[in-house]
Amino acid sequence: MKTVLLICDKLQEINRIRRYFDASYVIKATNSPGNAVDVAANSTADLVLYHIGADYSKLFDFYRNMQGNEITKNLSVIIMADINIVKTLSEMVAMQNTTIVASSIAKETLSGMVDKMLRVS
Amino acid sequence: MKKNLLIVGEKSFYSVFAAMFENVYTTHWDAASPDALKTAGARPIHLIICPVKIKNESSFDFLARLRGLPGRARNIPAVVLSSTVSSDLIRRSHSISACEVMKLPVEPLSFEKQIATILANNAGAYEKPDALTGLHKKRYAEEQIAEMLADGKKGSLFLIDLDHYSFASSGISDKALLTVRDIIQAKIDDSYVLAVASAGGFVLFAPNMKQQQDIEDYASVIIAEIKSKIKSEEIFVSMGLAVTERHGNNYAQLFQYCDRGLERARGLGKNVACFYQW
Repeated sequence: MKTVLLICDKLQEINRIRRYFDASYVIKATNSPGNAVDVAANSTADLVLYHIGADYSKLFDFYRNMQGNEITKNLSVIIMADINIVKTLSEMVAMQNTTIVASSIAKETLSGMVDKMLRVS
Repeated sequence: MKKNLLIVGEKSFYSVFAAMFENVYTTHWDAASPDALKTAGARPIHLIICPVKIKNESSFDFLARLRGLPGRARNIPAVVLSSTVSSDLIRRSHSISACEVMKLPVEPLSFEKQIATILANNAGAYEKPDALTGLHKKRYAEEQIAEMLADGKKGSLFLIDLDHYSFASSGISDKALLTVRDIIQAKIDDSYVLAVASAGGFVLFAPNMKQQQDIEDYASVIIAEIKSKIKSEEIFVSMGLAVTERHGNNYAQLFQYCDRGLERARGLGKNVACFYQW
């Protein structure tokens, strides 16, 4: 079974995104980007799903920590951001192993994307 | 103290780089290019980051205007970010001093390294400590003090100058200078700014020291200790003093008062510390 680590500070969003995945995935969740890298390393996550909404103030620290950790630096990351900042972020920043999608992404699109990413990796 | 980056452009452009450099640099934003440096106020800016177009203006035109301004603006290095980097763009960047074009999107870690390299390369000799005393040089202190004042810090400025009576002598000895440095350093903590101001002089900013009596007492203690440790009759010390609010709230004003105070102190005799006026 593949493990997806979900980072999100809103419980409601965590519950919504959990339902995107069927029982073939183990979904772990944390509301703290600060310790997410440790959680990802210790839980041997296969993929990180980081729901930033409209606040990307902690995103780059998270990214630095991910890249600075031997276990997590090659992990795939999906950033879920509000639609109005997806374009800006995508135009400005290219983070390794990272895909940026809108928070409003359809359930099937996201789960299909995760399926594909984990199959490839 | 963190270096200051001025990010010129739309708010969304600023927000990304402000988040990227949150714990590394202090970022300032300005949307309107003609007022970019006014927004930064008296704060020293170490690097400008801007998109290739600011509103409807080419950022190269903006930077060219900036380079034409008097003062430090002409030396601030700039990074222009563009999603396409053509030879024309590179040619235009070469027409502006200390300007580099980089391609968007940027990878955060390598971009951070590139910015650090530019800052290090443009730091200049003034950021390197003085070879004899190991203290920072005056211009570096100016920036530190200006930054503190821009943050609303209050305090007093001291211009401390060693003079030598004998014109035949080669001036103040290295040993005397190091003795004075040690005396001052023993009386300050990390919140103070101490730098070499000239050959034989120091500039000191004492945060939170605002009362006339406190400032004069502090100066007297330093002078007394210098007199007791440097026995030469030929060496004496003069000190000019200034304090925020009463003499100004930016470095230039304070320094001007301090300098006049120093001249007045010299005129009053040996080993004198005084304000130009209170």
